[in-house]
Parts: sequence; structure tokens; C-alpha cells
Amino acid sequence: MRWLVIVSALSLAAASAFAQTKEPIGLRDMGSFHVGGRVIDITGQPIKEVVFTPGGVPAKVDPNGKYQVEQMYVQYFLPQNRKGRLPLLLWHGGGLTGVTYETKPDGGDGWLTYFIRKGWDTYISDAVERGRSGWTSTFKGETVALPQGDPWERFRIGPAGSWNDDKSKRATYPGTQFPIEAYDQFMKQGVPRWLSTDDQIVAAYIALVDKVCPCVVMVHSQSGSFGYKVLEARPDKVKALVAVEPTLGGDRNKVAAIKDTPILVVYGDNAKDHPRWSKIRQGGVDYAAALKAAGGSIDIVDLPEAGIRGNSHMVMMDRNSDQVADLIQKWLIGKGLVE
Amino acid sequence: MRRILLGMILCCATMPALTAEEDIVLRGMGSFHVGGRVAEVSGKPVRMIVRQPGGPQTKLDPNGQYMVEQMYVQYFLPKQRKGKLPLLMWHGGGLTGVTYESTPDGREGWLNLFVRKGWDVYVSDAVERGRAGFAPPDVWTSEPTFLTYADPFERFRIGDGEGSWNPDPAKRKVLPGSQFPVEAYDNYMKQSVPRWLSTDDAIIAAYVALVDKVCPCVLLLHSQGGAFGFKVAEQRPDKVTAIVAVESATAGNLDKAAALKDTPVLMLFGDYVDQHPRWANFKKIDLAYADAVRAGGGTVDVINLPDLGIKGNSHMLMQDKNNAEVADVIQKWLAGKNLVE
Repeated sequence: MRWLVIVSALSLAAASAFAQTKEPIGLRDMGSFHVGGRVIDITGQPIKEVVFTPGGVPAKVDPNGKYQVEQMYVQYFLPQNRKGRLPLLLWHGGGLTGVTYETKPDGGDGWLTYFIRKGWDTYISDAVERGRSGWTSTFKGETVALPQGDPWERFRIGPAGSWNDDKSKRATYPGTQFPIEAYDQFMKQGVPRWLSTDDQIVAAYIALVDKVCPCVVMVHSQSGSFGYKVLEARPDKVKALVAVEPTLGGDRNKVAAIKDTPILVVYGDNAKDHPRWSKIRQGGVDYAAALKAAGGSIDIVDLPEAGIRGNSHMVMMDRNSDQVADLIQKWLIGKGLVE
Repeated sequence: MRRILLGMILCCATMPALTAEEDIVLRGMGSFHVGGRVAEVSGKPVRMIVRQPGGPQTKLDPNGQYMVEQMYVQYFLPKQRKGKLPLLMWHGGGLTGVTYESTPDGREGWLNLFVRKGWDVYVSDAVERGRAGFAPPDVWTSEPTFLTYADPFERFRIGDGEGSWNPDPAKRKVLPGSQFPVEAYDNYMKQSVPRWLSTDDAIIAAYVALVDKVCPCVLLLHSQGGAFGFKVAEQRPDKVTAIVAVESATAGNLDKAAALKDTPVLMLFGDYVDQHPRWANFKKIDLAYADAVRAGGGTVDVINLPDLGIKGNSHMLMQDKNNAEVADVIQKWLAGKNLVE
């Protein structure tokens, strides 16, 4: 019997086998909560009879009434041996959820467990409308879901025109660190997104910061913009910002307000010559110059210039994710944020 | 500095377990998606969209292949394993795996309690819910449903039936002796997600894929998850070693119940069930299924918690104030089935 269990555990995705070769993870607590959101009224809609489960008992559902909307889900892990001086908040990018930072698509340990093992109280969230935050039909416009090929080129796994529905015909950037054999697994992490919900998303992130900070915020891609907006709103509570491939910087009119918060911006490989990413990166560089001129502290690291090559936009899922995390951890140590 | 931090942490309602509980030590934790299929969309116009205000225009071609109907699973593997098999926790309708995490009032939920008891615990979000994601409208053409504040309050036996909810908390008619943390009802409502009524087959397919991946195992099912769990067990009776069905909202197929002859089942019900017409009906359906399993040579134990002197439980037993006591009832049953070392 016991053998059967062991065999079935080993047959799992590499994930658990991987984790078991490492030291155990000791937590003084773990849990989750929802934060933010508001209650709205819907009126004037007809009452419906709904059978929730085929063969089940019909229930009367009156769609009129009060609804909870725009809340955000947060899961936290508090290591036994805390070494990060502040909570570390991990915010994901567009069309994704906090799963971004969990086990990688190829089953390796992601940044969540990396930073817990480094002793950080880590808070992972699903932005409003995504994942376990839930959503309602009250958002404006329609949802956008990503076709299989879209992230392949837009997230710099392969260059423009490199996607093919046939796996054997897909091209990648030379030396890519993205685990392309697990690309389908990455696509399973995708969730639809609205394009009209930025204000609601930022409001819930501010509610989170008000609840658990002072803290360090790590942002990725779309949440780069959210991270800067929240920092501008709560410069006293966001003590450092790590922006991994942010698609946008902050507001140039508000740089003076955030000059006391050190910022690290990290770009992967091929960003400088990708048609879209070269523009995004240049925007980031220009923003950094404006922030520095106002007395701010911002370090930009192009990973290839640090000798770390082949990184896609999904740096935390790339094969060398630990190496990039080491670079971030070192920066955090340099800012006096680690005991 | 350290003092200030400690003060900060203590001020936050989110970390109640900083009380005297033992630390949780894990030999592993992680997550994965399982199941799903690639669906094809064709004939739709290409659009230019701005993904963020101020960001560059990007082309969005909605045609092509989409990954749909996968399921999210998160697992925690305690260092001192005592449960002989993985324990899979499946949530009910309009909800996600969050059901089993911290309770709405910030206490430990069944995820932590069963990890502490030494079980390898796998909590999933069914297809379409939470981190499983949902398919674009070109693939799923039906509309999702949403729940009002009043709905679960009256339907999940927190309030005393229809008309018991009121926007003013002071005027809500809570069932006498209710164990549900009513002061945290708002937080409970934040756990809700939309639900489609046309996705049962896709949900079951992904659960079967999960069972094929991590079982033999024990299934812990709640509400709508019960209907799915029994149907999955009928398809994989050799892999589902035991079932704990907590207020299952309908059960399996009567004509396939005999498949569970070697899979012991516990059906667990909270309080006020017989007085609530809808739940009395669900219970009747569940007990008829129990009879069919027994007729096929299987074992079903039915526990009505009030019969054990455990009173006041709502439909959300795992979030009720006495959730640890109810977890102990389940643990005792599992130990009795020789599933605990």
C-alpha cells in the first residue's frame, strides 16, 4: 500500500519530486483573504428559476439586489525564519493570476517558494476580475482571451512570425530560457481580462497595501503600471518596488512624490530589438531619467548586460528563474531590506 | 525597527494563527493545471486594442487555438505525513478552493487543519472557477450566473429561510444557534465567482484527469462538488479509495452506484436540514443514492451532526465556528477506515 502511494507521488509532475529534494518549508502560518471591493445594487431584473445541478432541485433566483464586486484575493505564506524585514507582495501581469509565481509550467519551483525559502513573508494576489478574485457582469466592454500563439511572440519566446500551430514548426529566440516543452501548461494559466478595469484593480491593490504594508512590492508586466500608481498613492507604505518587465512606468508629474522609494527595473533578453518591447523599454528608460532628475533612486538592469541571457518576458518561469531571483534578492539586501 | 514591524503584524486581522498554533512544516508545496483541451475559433475580425491606457496599440486576432477547460490545483505536502493517501478537496457551486482556506472571519480552514493532521492536501478550482480560468464566449456560448448577497444567506441555512436576509445586518434573521460567522458574511460573499450551468461535463472531465494524475486518494466533496465527485468515482472506482461528501447537492447515477462497492462513503449533514425544504430534498436524493450504493454491496455511513450533539452548522460547515470539531468527526471516520497511519 505504502509503495503504491510513493509510486503515485513520484509520478506527479516534477513539482513535488523537485520540492522533496530540498529542505522542508517551515511556516509559522499560511492563509488567504479577500480585500477591497464594494457593494452595488441591481434593480428591475426579472426573477428566474434556476436548476444549479442537473437533476437538482430548482431554486428561485432573484437577480435584483446587492452584489459584491471588485474585491481581490490574496494568499500569504509566513516562513518560520523570517529574514525579509517587510512583507513581499507579488503582483502578476495581464491575463494571468498569482499562479505566475507558483510552480513553473515545467514543474520547477517558482519565485513564491524561492522567496519564502529566503525568509520573506510573501503575499500573492489575483488582481480584481482575475482568478480567485471573481468577477461580475458589471465591468464595461468584453473580455479578451489570448489565443495559443499570442504570448509566444508578444512575450519574446520567439520573434515576430515564429509561432506555428504545429509544435515542430515553432521557432524560438536562440538560447531561450523559456521551457517551451511546457508552453501548453503555461497557456493553461491564462485567464480572460477586461480592458476597462484599471481603476478598480488599483483601488483593491491600495486596500491591500493599507492592510499589510509597509512592504516591498514586486510587479510584472501589466502590474508595473499598477505598482507605480499604488506607490504614487502610498509612497510612505511601499518601501521598495521591483518591476520585472513592466509595460509602463509611473506618472512623470508625480516623480517627486516617490523619490524616497528605491526601484529596481529588470528586462530580459531581446527586449532592445523586439518591435514592441524596444518601445516599452525605451519608455521605461525615459521615465527612469525623469525620476532620477527629481532625486529618485532607480536601477535598471538589462539581464544580458549582467551576463544572464535568454530570458523571455516570463522571467519567473524561465529555466534560470533562480538566477534572476538571486539578482533581485541581492538588490534587496543592498537596500537593507534583509536581516 | 523590529518592534514596529511586530506591531504592524499584530494589528492586521489577516494573521490570527500567530496565536499558539504549531508551525506548519511542508516537504513540498506547489500548483499545477490539469486537463483541458485546445479549442478552435475562426472567422472573427482582427482588432487593434490598447491593453493599458497610454500603452501602445497591439493587434488582437481572436481567431486561432485557445486552451480551455483546464483546472487549477494547489497542493501542500506535510513533512510528517500521516494520511495514507492524498486528500483532494473539491468546492461547491459559485465558489473556488478558497472555501477550504482561511475562514471568512480569519480562522484556519480545513486546508490548514488537515495539513496539520498530516494529509497531503490538494485543493482545486473547478473548470471555469477561480484560477482555472474560463473559456471565451466564442467557445462557451451560454451565460454565467451570479449570486446576490441575499441568496446564499437564505439558501445555505445561515438565515431562517426566504426573507431572512436584510441589507441592514441588525435586521437579518439568523437561524438560532447558527455556527456561521455572520459578522464576516461580507468576506464570505467576496469568495463568490460566477458559474455557468452548461459546463458539468467539462468540469467532470478535468476532475477525472486530476484523479488519474494523483490518485489513489480520498475525495472530500462539498455541495455541487458532491455531484461531481460521485460521478468521477463511478468512472474511477479503483482510484477513489474513500469519499467524504459534505452536504452533497445531489449525488451520482443510481444505475452506476454499484461501482462504489469497494469505496466507503461518509455522508455528512449539518443542522436545520430537515426543516429547510430545499435541503431536505437534497438529503432525500443523497440517501437514495446511499441505498443504491449499499444495494450494490458498498458501505455508506450517514452522519447528521445534530445527532452527535454538534448543533448549529450551516451549509458552509468548513467555515463555521466549530469547523475544527467537524473536521475531527471526519478525521475519526477516516481513521476508522484505516486511512491514517
